[in-house]
Amino acid sequence: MVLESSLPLPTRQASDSSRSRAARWLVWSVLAVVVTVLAPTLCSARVIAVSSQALMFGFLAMGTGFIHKHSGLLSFGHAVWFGLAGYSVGILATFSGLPIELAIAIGLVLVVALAALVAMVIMRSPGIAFSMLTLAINVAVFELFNRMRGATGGADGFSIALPETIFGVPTTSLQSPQTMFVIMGITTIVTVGALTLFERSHLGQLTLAIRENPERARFIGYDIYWPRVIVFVISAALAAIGGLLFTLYTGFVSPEVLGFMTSGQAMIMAMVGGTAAAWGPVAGALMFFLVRDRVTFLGDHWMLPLGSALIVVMAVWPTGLVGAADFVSRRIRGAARRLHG
Amino acid sequence: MIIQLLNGLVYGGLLVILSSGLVLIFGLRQVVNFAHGAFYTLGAYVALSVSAFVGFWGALAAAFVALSVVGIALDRFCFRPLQNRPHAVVLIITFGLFLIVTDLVQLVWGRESYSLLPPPDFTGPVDVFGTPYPVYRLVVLALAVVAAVALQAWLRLTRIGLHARAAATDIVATGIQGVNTDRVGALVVGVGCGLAGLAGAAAAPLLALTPSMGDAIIIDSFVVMVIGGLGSFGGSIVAAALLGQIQAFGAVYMPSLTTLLPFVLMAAVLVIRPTGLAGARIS
Repeated sequence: MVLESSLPLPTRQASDSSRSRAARWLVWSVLAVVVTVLAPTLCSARVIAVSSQALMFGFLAMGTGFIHKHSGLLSFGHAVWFGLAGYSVGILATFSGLPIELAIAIGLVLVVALAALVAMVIMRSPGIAFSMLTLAINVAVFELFNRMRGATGGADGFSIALPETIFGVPTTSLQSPQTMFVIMGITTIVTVGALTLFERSHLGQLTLAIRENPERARFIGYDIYWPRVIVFVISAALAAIGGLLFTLYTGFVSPEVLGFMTSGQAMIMAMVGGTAAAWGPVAGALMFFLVRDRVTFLGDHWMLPLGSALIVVMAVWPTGLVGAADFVSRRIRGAARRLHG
Repeated sequence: MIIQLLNGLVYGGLLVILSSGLVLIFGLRQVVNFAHGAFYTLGAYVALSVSAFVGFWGALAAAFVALSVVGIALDRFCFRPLQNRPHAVVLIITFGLFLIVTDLVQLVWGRESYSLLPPPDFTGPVDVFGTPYPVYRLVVLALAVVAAVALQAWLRLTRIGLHARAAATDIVATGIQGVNTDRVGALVVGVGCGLAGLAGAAAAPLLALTPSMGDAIIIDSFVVMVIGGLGSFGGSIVAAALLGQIQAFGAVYMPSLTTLLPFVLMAAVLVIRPTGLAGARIS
């Protein structure tokens, strides 16, 4: 038997009808859109700036959470895809003379293709070896870009030449926190919806079955290799989208964004948020960034409290914020049912 | 040429000590200790601090003992209470521990880099087939061989080693036979972490001490462990020797690619044998 590592993932009870679930989805997404649009006028500029960055790294956390949810694997290297998307789009936009829209498309395709190649190798070694390999690859890629002198500026990174408008949106407004927050909010809501739909699709259910018991899924007659490769590629693509938006927002890339500490932080966001629902890692990212913004007095010594918090969460409440929300909503519904008698 | 070969052997030796500790812990607890690199760093700093009082060899022993105590605590307060939880939970907790230990090293010793001198009798170069070679590096190599042989002797020849091997096969059945598996676990994890401290202290005179000194070598020992087949001592020794040579020769002939070479080796091994060199043992 191969060693499967997976967290206790609460499979949410499908007690209610699909119509009432669809209605609840609609209510939540409308609510989320309203909050996104209103927030820039209600919250301080600083909170908005921090939150829009949080949502960019939220995509990285979503990628990390997605692969955990659909394959039970822990990736300590997803910052590679986040950072490579930034580098490939940045290099194409600055040195190739291609229009930015084409550079973005080609850059993303390149990163996803590379992710597919890597997935085909490392998905052969399941469980704990996967975690070690993702971490190892991350360090190697970081070293590569850190030492690479010349055009990409080595450890210093480089500024990207961006045109006046990108997809018709003025670059200046793309780089203002207020506008970017709304863009990030909407893309996040759409992505969370898409991931939730994926979970309910045939492929999504199959990947969950493979996660639960790969041997049994194979005996039923399913191929268990390619669905796992697809899960890896989707999760890398999520990270790449985040990296792309982050790069357009800052107009700058440096090896720091693809360091393994970035991957580790994304892992922490995903775990604190919980991976059972697609919104968990996003909530984790928001919490991570908003709390970090408050504790600047810690200076360089943020790893000690962060590590301690991670250990406490994993030991006491391993299902994260999603698990907490499930717990609360079950309690409320239970109380309501008792009231109705 | 001979210099690179020897450098590769020395680095391979360090990898053997580090990955033996990882393999030892993995065998019993089915968890890869992500804090192992931080323990290596901590071992080097402990050696640095006590070497002024007890000399180099005393410092080496102190690093082993100090990290063994850390390992026993790790087993008692983390691995044992969480042994029925999914391995992923424990893995993430050791990652949290990595953050904590790295930060503690920075708090105690600061960010500046230190250097530790090799023992006075082993400072100069020695003549190896007509080429001068730092004698301390040969000491590290000898130490790695001694550590590997001693570990195998302990596991194969002693009663507690027998218990450890039995517990690695089936910890519950071993407990039913009347073996105190809690004590075995504490010993195994203690020795495993102690080896990380020993490797750190032994490596300290070879390079500068910084809080992140463990990052690069722990990555290589992860690669070694995966190539070797996760739970196998033999596999990881072969893989460590291979990787040591690749790093040493790569540093001279393809300096820009050294960081990627281990992964080329790894990809090649995984494509041919997905479970590693000695993979049959674990699956």
